[in-house]
Amino acid sequence: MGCTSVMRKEIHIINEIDQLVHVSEALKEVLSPFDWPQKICMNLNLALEEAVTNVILYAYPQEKNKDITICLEASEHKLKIVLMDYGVEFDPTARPEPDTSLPLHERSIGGLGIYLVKEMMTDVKYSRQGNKNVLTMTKEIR
Amino acid sequence: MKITIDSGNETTVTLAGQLDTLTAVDFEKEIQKVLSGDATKVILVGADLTYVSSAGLRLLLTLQKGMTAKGGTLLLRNIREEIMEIFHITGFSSILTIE
Repeated sequence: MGCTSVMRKEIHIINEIDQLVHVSEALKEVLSPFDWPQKICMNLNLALEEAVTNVILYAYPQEKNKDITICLEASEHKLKIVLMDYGVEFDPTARPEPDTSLPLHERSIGGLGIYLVKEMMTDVKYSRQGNKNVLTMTKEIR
Repeated sequence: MKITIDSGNETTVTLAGQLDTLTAVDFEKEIQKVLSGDATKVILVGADLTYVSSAGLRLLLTLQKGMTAKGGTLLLRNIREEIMEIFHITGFSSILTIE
């Protein structure tokens, strides 16, 4: 694999929390030929887990066995993740960010997941394409 | 993830492995037990805790709020650097007591 310049992988999961394991495995696989720092890999896994968890929990209320597609593309300095579902229209990037400076009694329980995604990635973009939610997340390292 | 609890007035909770969306379910049950018990001081030891997602952060917030509400304290000990970074990003380092 020494000459690998780009690693691509597309996986399909259903909207169940236990499917997150496959998502982590896929990320590990596309990053494996490259020398990405361990800590960044962990943070990327966190961002991906948060984004996919949101879709699993909220895209298809009341419906089971619904498809979520994850396309991963990694190279030496860039990782691109495209997350797609056919569920309820939802733009996670439009959520107001939690105020991380608030004292304990004012901190609320929600909104942290997508905040972590934005913090860990270089760029996060949402688009509604027909009946599809498409979330594109990229990370660039030097 | 492995959760070990040594109960008492001073309760020690040791977490090892990943506190993610999946394992948060088990940790939540343990937190409810700790909060409904007699503990006035909870020490959470994280030397082998390697990963915390937002589901885990939410539970830490629940535990901190619960302990504060009953007049007790929560102390986090031996937290790894990569987890500390997540605490810093989310502002948790200023609402949790970390030793």
